Amino acid sequence: MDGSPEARALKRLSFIVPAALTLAAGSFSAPASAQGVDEFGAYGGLEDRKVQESGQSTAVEIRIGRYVPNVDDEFDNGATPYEDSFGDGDRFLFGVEVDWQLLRIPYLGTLAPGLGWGFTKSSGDALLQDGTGRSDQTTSLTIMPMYLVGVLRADVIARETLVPLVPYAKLGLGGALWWVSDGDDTARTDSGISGRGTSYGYQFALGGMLLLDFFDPSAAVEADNSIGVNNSYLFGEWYYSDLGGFGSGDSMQVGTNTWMLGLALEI
Amino acid sequence: MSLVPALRLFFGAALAALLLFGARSAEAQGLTISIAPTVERSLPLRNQNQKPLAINYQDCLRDNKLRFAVTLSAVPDSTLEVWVGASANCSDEVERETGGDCWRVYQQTPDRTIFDVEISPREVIAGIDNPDTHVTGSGSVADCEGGVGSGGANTLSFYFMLMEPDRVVAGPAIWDKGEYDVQRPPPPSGISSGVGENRVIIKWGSARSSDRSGYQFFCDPPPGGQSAAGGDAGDTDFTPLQALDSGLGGAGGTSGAGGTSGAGGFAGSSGSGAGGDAGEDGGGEGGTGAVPDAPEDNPNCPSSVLTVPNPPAAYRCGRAGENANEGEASSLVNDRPYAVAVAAIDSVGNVGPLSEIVCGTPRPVTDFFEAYREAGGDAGGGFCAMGHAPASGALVFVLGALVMWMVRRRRAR
Repeated sequence: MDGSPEARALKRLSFIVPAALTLAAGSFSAPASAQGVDEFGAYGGLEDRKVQESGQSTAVEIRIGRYVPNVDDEFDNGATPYEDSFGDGDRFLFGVEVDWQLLRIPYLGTLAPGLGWGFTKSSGDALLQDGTGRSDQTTSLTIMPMYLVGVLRADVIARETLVPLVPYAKLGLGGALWWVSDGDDTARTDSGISGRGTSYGYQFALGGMLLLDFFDPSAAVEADNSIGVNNSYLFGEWYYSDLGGFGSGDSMQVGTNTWMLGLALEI
Repeated sequence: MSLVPALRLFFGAALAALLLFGARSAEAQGLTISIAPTVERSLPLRNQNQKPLAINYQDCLRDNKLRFAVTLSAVPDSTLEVWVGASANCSDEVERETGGDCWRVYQQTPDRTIFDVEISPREVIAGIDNPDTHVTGSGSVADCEGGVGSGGANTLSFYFMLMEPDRVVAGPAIWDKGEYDVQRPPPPSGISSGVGENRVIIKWGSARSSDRSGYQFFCDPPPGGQSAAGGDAGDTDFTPLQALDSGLGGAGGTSGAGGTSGAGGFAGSSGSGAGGDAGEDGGGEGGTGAVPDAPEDNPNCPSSVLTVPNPPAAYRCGRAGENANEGEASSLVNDRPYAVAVAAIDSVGNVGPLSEIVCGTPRPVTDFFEAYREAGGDAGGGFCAMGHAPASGALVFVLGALVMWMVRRRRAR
């Protein structure tokens, strides 16, 4: 019977019917499973951000925070040249950081080397040499802190629970370029030593990030689909840097102990 | 004499005249005139950001001529004329006639095909207010004081034409990049001074004009610890201010301050060599212009220099930018009292009259770096001046190892 025409027809039918049914089912179900993003946001399941997330390899931070360098901590003799020159008011730093998220640790988060750069400037009227008060000549200390740190972001909480928080920690080496102005030019001592230099040391930070995707998941998916932004965060951190040259004594202590706030994007 | 030779002579003469006329017409029809795109000046050009070809107050005083390279296709019998108009088409006869908006600034019969034409800025400025009554060659230093042009440069077009009495024979060749502004910017108001080391900090409340490119400070005694007699004889860089100094020295006739002649004007009084040829120009017409008012003396720091218009360049002691409202009069001597005044500079390099005079005495200060070093700090000396302590070596080692690891990891992929 296997070679009979009936058998061949039956065999052919056994292929055609399921294929047709599959095709029909597919065409009926297609409208239901269409996915995309339109002016009303993501649809077709894309609004669930875990369904279709683009690859993630980098975190970018823009940060601002109080930055009063610990220059005066360098002196055991009670001298406070920084405070004498610039007062005890707050100074602020603007900075950026880029992390290369090389490694995802299961059930924990990402581990990344991060490079950071910042800028801050303190200025004030220089003291009169005879000690009778201040002049009208500006003196300033400009600091450009930079660092290379390891960053561990524990995003498992935000990914697996409803709590949109990502705690993180950073630890690494820090450095800073700094220069002092006497108004128009770089300051110099009477012996000709120029008022600029490099400081180095270590630093760490502990902080938490608030996942903004939580507040508008649809917009988050749209951002991922259109510009590749996986997650966006507001963050706050405690930041400590000791740039005293590991005790070498030739490095101005322009590190600080402070807080930072900022916006972070994972892309 | 028979009739035939006479007729022959007549017809011959008539034919020769006809041929000659025909040739002249043909030459006139074929004449062309052109001007080189690059225009020069008779004195060194200003900085590019101060519109070096625009006519400013100092150009007018010093008669800093615009120089055009003109090329004709043949030596003409007609006159080369240059007409100027702000917006009128000066090749149109109506605009050149009485009541028109063009005025003639140059007229000469060329005897070569390639030559330079120098246009006096005074001729240009003199015709701006009265284009239809301006007589070519009547422009003088007095016209510079009219203050025409304001709020930046105003445009002009120059028409180069070969002319016969009633018509344009060739041209026009047009240079439409002419600009002028001989109105000097007013000084800033609300001047105050502060103490600095080897400097006086000057602040001002507001600029009185939006047309400005910066500010110039003047100090008496002059900066650098030099005496007033030091002058700037060796100063070879031309600046608008030097033009102002020397030109006004003659024009203002301020030699009463101690100078020896009208030609040298105030520059002569200081022994400066900046007077130069412009001093001669000014001196020749000294006293004819209404020199802007000088500030009143400040009894706390009397100055015989800043109380007359336009002190010489030797008394310049600093500059400030366009949007600044403070600056430093520098290179001064500590514990020495100074009289200081400010002049505004506009977008075409006009240097305005001096502000009120303020007093200031530089004093030694301790900047942050000095304070840091005096407290016992060892850092400083340059960005590459890291110490040689073991910690530095360790840091370099760690960083180097990190970089190597990253490179290897990348290659392994």
